[in-house]
Amino acid sequence: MKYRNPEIPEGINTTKTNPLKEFAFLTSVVIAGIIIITAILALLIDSAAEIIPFEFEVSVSQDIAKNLNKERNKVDDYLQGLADQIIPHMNLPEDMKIQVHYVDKDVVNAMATLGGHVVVYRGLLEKLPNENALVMLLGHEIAHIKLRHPVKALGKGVIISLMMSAILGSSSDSVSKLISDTSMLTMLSFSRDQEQTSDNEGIKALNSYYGHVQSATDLFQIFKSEHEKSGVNVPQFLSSHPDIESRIHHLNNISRQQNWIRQGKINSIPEHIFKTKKTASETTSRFH
Amino acid sequence: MFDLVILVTLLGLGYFFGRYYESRHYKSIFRREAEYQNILIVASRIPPVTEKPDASLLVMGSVVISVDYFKRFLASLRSLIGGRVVSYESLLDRARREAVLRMKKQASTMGADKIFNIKYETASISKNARGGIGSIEVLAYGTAFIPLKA
Repeated sequence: MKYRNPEIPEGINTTKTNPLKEFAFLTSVVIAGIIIITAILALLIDSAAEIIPFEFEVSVSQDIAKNLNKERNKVDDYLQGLADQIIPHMNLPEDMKIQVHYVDKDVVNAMATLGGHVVVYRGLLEKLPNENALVMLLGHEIAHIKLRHPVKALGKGVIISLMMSAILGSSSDSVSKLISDTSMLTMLSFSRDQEQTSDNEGIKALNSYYGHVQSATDLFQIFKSEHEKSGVNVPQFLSSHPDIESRIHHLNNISRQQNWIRQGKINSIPEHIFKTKKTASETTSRFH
Repeated sequence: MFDLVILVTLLGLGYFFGRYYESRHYKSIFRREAEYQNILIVASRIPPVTEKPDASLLVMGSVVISVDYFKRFLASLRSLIGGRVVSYESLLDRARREAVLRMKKQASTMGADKIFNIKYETASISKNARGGIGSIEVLAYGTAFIPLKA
């Protein structure tokens, strides 16, 4: 027998495709897949949340309520009173009770959370120029509760983290990062949608309460100037809230389309509330 | 945002260095394969009876090659959707051929002209430990025949 070692042609055991092509294909398929899965899960959760009874939210949020209700003062009562006047204009389900709380902190923000609790921080309340802006703010936050946004956000958070732990166990760190970031950015678009629909409900409530939409965008001017002060400019796709300019623009568009009266009486926030706010802040500064 | 910059930098480094080393390695493989063409390698376990060598001895060649960041990223994405892990194919091809070349070099320094009963072993170093270095070892070994001196 004669043994030979002939030259074997190349390209049998390897594939001559450009790795960049492979890279482009794989990343786009994986990113598209994650976006689709996240979006489907988010939509499922959003529709499932409608079935969850409001009492469930209330029972889950008892600890939050206890914490927030520790000491109610005049400001809490004023905010609650105002909310109670707005609520009839918002078509809330009958079993839905809204509780408004005032928190003496510098945070320029307000939020709505599980169980119908709305929190307004001193930082924001102090900056509001008039009651109209406050009504817009409360309308927006009450709309979050009416549309079940807190419980939807909770459900989505749980499901997405479950999905992540299922997928990520087997991937390298960099790929995990790619997947979780993609999923998070997809979720943010849902969050922006929620803000938008709450804005719509808020301005509707404002119009129905006063009969005009004067000062509807004052609230956003505050956020805008806060934003400019912070100097951080986050692009919209990385943010949980829509771009402030586009929110203002959107609200102006709605009032134009609906032919709402855009000029009207500006109601001011009662003096004694400011007094309480002041003493409240004085006491805190004394304690600091 | 900063994370993304780091990721792209690592991928870029992996891609360019990985490509550079791979093409350099292949050039060297082609050159040495031609050089050691005269040493025959045969997979059969039992040599023909006509072979009457002066001596036979175990020869082996082993190589460890690390995967680069870019290749690992591609493979990790592949693991999600399935399919051929093209990015690792060339890595293993290089490792196998390098191991054979080193074995041939050893045989050549011993004065052998044939190697019978060639076997390969492949091991992944660090297995699937997360964050571990993804590198592979390929070992090729066989029985080299040193011919009778004329």
